[in-house]
Amino acid sequence: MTPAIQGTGLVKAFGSVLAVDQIDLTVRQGECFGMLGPNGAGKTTITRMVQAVLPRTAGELAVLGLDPDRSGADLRARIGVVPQGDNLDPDLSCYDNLWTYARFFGQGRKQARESAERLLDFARLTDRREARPRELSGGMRRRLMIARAMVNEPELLLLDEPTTALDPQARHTVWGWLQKLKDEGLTMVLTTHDMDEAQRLCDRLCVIDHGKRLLEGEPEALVDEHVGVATLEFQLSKPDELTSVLFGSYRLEETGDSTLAHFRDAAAARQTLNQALDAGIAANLRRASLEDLFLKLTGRALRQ
Amino acid sequence: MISIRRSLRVCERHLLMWRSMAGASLVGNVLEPLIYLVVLGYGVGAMTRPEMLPDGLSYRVFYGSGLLASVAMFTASFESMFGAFTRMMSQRTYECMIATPISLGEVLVGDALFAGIKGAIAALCVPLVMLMIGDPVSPLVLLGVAPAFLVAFLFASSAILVTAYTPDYAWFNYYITLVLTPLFLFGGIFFPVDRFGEFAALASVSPLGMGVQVLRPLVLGHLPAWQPVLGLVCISLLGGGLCLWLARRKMQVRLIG
Repeated sequence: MTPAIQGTGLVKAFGSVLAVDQIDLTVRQGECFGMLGPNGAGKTTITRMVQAVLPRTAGELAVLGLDPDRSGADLRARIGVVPQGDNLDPDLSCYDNLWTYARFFGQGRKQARESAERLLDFARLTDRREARPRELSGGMRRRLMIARAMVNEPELLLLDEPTTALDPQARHTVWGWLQKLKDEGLTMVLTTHDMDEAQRLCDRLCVIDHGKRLLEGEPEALVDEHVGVATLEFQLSKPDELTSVLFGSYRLEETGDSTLAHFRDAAAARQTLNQALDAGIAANLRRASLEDLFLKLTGRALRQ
Repeated sequence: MISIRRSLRVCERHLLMWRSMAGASLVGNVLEPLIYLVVLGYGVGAMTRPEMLPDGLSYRVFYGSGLLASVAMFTASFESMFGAFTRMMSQRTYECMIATPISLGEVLVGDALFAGIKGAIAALCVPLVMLMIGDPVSPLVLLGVAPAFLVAFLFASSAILVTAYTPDYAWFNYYITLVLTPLFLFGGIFFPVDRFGEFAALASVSPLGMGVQVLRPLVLGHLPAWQPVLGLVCISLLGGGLCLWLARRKMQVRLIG
């Protein structure tokens, strides 16, 4: 099966700045592929090249078998996009938002009416059809945006931080939907820096920083390989308190308010925990997470 | 390549939006020329004698028949400055549209078509007002929908170009003061351009001046000369097209990079 997205040596330069620097990208059909990275890492630039909005500077790129720079309109007709933030049409009602969007995809008036009805139902907003987007809650607006992206029954869905700024209930609703769409076989590319979201939804992911790809693989395997299987979190009163309790091989990390010890061996982690508790040191054992991996790769320094 | 079919979908979205505020918009289209025609007709009309104006027209009829062109210009310009800037920046409407098969160029053509329609509607409200206050209007004015659209399309395109470059709303004042207002005053709307003597030719080849020379005769019941018709068609399609092409280049960078 040809991949949904196949990119080789992708480059995007803005003047002398390389926003994307020699990135290879493979997204298989039917998978949810995550793109992780700090703000300004180049994730959105890659998404825009994939969605045939931004021409690339160099490299090869095939999306659904088409070259985005040559077959832009044909390709966009087969892709769904859920952008960052909110770009619903504030001048139009929910229904008209969906209807005009369907028309943008070349649907006839009758077909656009059917699409709008179907998607209002999908977004569970049938009773708010005449409401303007500003009258909706953040969660409802998100639902409307995801529904809107489904108007052309896309073969590929690009999501840019789909749950940012949502309350936990709305986040879980959106995750449920995306999981369902994934189960139905829709290929998704999820840009996020919500590690919880990435861990939950992504079959594979890559970490990008400064326009370069740092890693690619399955989330759990990446965490196991690059961070460890277990992490102990300590709140220390004296810096050398730990030397007597640490057991086995580990990697220590200072985060500012706590000290982390990452273990490749779960038994060693448990033994260290017991020794720490005996010594009266507060410690918390948890699974190593994608967030640990992310911070290890991209550093803890604040970005612009 | 620009698909007019896709541009019309953009235009359709604007018309749908406009429908919800058409009432307020149309009231403005009628009230504003009504006030101008009544007040200037009353004040300036009392100080002019019919023999001062071509064909012995009353001042109010002379002024009203020229006003169509400037109404088309201003309506389209404001739509394509404030409306388009809002859509480009805060509302992210353009960003939303270019995620669909519609391209940025098609979005801008759609915007200019919509502003052209809006300007033409506003312009044709002027003869309606003239009829309401008892001034003669020829049925030929219905042909004026085409030149009024061309005037509006041209100024919409030029305003979209200004919008593509403007950092914020305040900068529109330069364009309004330095371009639109002089065109308005020198376009032969308030008085015949031959008052300018040797510079009259310059005033009569201005884009708005040509619009006035095409629209005024239609209101008065005769066909315009061919020169301003040809001039208007050429400048509107070529100049408008050039403005939109330049605007697309700039907006592509601003919106996407």
